[in-house]
Amino acid sequence: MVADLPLFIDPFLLFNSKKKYKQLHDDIIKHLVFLKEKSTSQTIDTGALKAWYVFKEVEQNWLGFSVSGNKGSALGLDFGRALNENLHKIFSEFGQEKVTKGSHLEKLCLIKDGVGKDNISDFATNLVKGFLLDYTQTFAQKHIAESLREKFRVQRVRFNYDTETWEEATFYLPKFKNDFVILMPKELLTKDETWINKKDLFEDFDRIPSAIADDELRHKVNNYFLGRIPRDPKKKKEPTKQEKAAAAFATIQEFPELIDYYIKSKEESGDLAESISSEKVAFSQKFYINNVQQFIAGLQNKSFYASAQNSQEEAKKKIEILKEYIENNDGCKLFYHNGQRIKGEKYLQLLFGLVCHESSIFDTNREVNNGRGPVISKFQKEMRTNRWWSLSWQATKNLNKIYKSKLRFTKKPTKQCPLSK
Amino acid sequence: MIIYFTEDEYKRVIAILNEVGLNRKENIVLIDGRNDNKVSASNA
Repeated sequence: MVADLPLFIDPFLLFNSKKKYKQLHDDIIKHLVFLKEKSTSQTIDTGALKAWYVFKEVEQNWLGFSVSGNKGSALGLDFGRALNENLHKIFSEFGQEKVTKGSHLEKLCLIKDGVGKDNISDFATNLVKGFLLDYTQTFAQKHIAESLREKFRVQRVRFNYDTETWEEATFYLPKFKNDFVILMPKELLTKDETWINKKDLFEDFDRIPSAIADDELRHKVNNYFLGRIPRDPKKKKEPTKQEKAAAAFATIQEFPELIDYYIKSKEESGDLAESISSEKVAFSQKFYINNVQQFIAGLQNKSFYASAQNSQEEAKKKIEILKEYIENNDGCKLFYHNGQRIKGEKYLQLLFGLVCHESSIFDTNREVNNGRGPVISKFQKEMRTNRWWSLSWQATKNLNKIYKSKLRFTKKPTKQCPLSK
Repeated sequence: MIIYFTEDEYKRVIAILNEVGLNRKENIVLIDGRNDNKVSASNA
């Protein structure tokens, strides 16, 4: 294992799973109810915040947003504070929702800036950790050799509501580099966005008013929304996406109950969430597992991973092998799935890290030059003598700007810049 | 090492490299990542 895969738990998939994982969603809501009671009945000091509202990222599932390794950002105090301050506003009707069928943690990221999908997913992962550990242990006992498993004492497995503390437990789990590994059922995972998300709320705002059963409210909302879209009858110009989003934002400020109607519409199309997520997971499996495995196997046949003495010579040789393999030996298949090319530089970085991590000359830290440019890998052995090479794998977007900025940098001779030699 | 995926990207990279005087330098390697201009190795 080299890096996190860009997948994460979407709590909506638990909610919508009918029977199988519904209990897990109920467990998440149970914890939110507990936190809400604490938030409304007592002052939450930093100690209580850390104990109840702050969670460390569950790194052992090897999912998330870090491009190299599995160390993401922990669920910090900011998220804990946002939760503490907003719980009573957001979840005022736990279990007695009038518009939606259930309560959804994702509502927090619709209302509070700075709370993102990573926060939501990390929170959910922590709350279902006990289930995931049981699932992993059972799977490992059946399918993973005993020599690859070990007994681990795991912290914060489940929350005890009597003692109001997290409990530890012991599991026999797969071992990797002195730590355990947590396996995840694919049905819980998605990529890009949770089903209920802010971008969607604003971009598809037009369809929310039609979901409001109350005629009077619907009329008021429509009026308010349309009144905030700038229109010039002379120019006959359609409002831009940004103008519509700004009008949607203003309307939601005026009618906060619209968020519930948005969630209701997402609940009603919930089965689509399952099929879309499952497609995304299959897509990720194809790109990051199948394509990478084939690519590595191809490079192994070309001695790409063999070491050499002189790093600069080795770098040259390996680039030649890589070029030849991509251009003339089907290596370019790494970047495609069903004719579609992988998009986004960070995903290319991830692919590159997965492919090259075993090569003796590549450093998996792809962010070099301290932010000067999106150079995404370096040849580490030459770092100390300042004779290293740079790699740049680029998506189409911003190519011109990126290269100009990169090349401008390389034109100024510095001791770090090999291209200026 | 610069990888490009379309003809348009290739032209843009070449234009920029020319502009900054780095085209055809030994330590600039261009890699053609297109999949629409190659015969599959297994069919070749």
